Amino acid sequence: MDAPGAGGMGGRSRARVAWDVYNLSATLAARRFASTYRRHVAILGLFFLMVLFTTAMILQIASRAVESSDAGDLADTITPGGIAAAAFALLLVRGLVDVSRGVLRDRALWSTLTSPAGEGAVRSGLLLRTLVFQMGLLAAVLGLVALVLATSPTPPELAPETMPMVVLAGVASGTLPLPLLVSAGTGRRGLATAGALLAVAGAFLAALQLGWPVWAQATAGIAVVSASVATAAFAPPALAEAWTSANRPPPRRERATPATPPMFLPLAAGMDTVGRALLRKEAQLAFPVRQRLSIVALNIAMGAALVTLDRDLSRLVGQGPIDWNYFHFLVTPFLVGVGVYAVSFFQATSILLDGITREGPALWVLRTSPADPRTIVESKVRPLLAFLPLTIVAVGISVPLAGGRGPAAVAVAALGTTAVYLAFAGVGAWAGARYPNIDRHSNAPPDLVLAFDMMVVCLFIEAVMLLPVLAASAFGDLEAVAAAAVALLAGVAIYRMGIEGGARALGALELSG
Amino acid sequence: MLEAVHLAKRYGPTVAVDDVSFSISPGEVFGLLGTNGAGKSTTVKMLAGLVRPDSGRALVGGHDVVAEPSAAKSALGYLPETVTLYDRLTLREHLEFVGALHGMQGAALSTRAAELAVRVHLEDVLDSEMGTYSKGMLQRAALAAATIHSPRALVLDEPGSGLDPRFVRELKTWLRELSGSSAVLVCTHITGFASEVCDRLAIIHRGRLLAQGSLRELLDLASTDDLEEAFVRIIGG
Repeated sequence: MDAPGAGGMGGRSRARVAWDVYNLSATLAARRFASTYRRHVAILGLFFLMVLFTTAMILQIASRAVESSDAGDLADTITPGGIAAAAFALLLVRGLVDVSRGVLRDRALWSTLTSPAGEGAVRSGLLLRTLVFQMGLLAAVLGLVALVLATSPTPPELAPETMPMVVLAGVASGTLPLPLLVSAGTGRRGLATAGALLAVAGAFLAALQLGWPVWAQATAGIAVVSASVATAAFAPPALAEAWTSANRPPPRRERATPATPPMFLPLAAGMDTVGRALLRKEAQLAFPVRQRLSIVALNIAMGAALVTLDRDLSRLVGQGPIDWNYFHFLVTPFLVGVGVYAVSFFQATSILLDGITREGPALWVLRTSPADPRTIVESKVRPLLAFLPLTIVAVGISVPLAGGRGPAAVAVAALGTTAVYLAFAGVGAWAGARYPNIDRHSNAPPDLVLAFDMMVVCLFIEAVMLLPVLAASAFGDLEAVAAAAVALLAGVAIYRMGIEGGARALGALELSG
Repeated sequence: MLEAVHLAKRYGPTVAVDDVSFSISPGEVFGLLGTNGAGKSTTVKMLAGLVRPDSGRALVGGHDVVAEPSAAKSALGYLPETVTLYDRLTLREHLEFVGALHGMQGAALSTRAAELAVRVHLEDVLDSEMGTYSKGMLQRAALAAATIHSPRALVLDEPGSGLDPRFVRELKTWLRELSGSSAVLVCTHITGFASEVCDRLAIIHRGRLLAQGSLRELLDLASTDDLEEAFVRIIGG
């Protein structure tokens, strides 16, 4: 057998092969990128505006925190190391997703793997591709930050080592994912290598977070880069095994009876045979045990966090439990609002954004069936209603109940939670059917961009729905409950409109690929 | 029962299908022959309601696929060129799901699903998730699903793809049986398969229908006794 990357390359140098592999994979990735964004200029523009806005907000908050004499602890955490650590963590996640989707799950990689090119050279080329795209993304983000700083009247002062450390973090996050995932996908021997790489990366993160001297942070960062590059270039062959492992068919599973969870069956009430079949299929495929448990855990964790935060904030203001009718009443609605927003978005909108996408290339089964698009979309939304009571109890009314507030506050929280949940489900139903990411022909916007845009849209919707309720509560309990009931009607309307809009979009969707 | 009336479809500057018309009656197997990229799959996708025609009409069971999609699709059984099914459903669940989408239910549906599994030789894996199936098994599973509701019109895009010779032979017999009550459209580029199972044939090239008729008529048109040779002569290759 050839030494890794050494022989079998037809006399061509390792660097030349690595460059060819990089060139091909980068060209394909760039073409995919261009093809995707060409059709979604508006949604991309919205994304950049929102990123700009968010960056400006974060910088403003950071700036105020630094200026504030009361926020010493917060200011201490905004260090060059802290910023670099955040950049490293975020970019590493992005890099891992990129390598997993773009390399290990790339069906066409067989043509490279079966060529005489040495694997070390192939891995080096693929690593270079990941690194270049990571640095491109980092450059875009830093450009936005620079733009915000240049236009900010009170820009926060950054230490001179901030930018070099962020760039080093970017390089580390661009080199680590490929050797890490390739090693992790090759059994026990590979796991040891992956563990070693993770240990070096952990040391780098610790150096950044714990405020080690700059030279120590830089050394740790260079160690991550060196270890990653060396593993990619010189480690024993592993890419083919990792690729095969990532694309291996799932283990055989058998069952003789349908596995539809019974909790969803009541939701089929009023549906015909077609609707019931669709709902059963959706409940079975989209909500396996793991998904249901994670939803329950999310609700319970959020509820517990909100109750604890509310209690602590109440103590902080030194007035015991916060009264609903005083100025401090803003704390509890804000907490509940944030909790309901987060849970409803991740539980309703986010799952539904993936609703049609989840069908994947099997969408033809539904589109060639007599099922009308409205029933299809509705069957994807209804199972989420099974979790609404849990969200109302755990997230919506747990805080007012634990805080000993009156029945009006509990009613407002329950109505408001239902309203937001239904509205967010409507948004998800529409966007998921309007922008499905089915295959390369669908040219949908990237999931991340769509999710980010919808997060902002949902935030706006919640604010429009619930701020009037907050205002009405100043006039009395009855007024607050009445306003919450109106918000619920709005939520139901958005829910219905979302389903109708989603059905229209699905009906117009062509499956030409 | 299955009719294309002046169907046309463009993708930007590319003309995929240009004024294609044909009609298939119950009891008839109609073959659509063409080279790769000739417009076969786009034509059948318009008949199946997956692609909207720019002009012309696609009729299934007398219903316009665009104007009356539910009625048209109730009469349709469809097999795509590339079969992808739900990995996490078993074949039994999938067949019962597709049957239910066509209004079937209860014991009749369960019995029909089990019968079809035997017909496509997948009875041993009826309760296995389809993510574990080979390409040929998926093709057979999709064939079973396409016929579960005994459709009046059957559109099969490359039905022999990925199948072993034994099942290809069975498929030919099965298609003859199915055509007893259905109009069957078979889209293929394999002339041997087409000449064995089809009552009438059409040759499509660069989006246009160049000829259609019985096997004998096409052979006479090209002055040859070999369909492959006739095909090449008609498309001008």
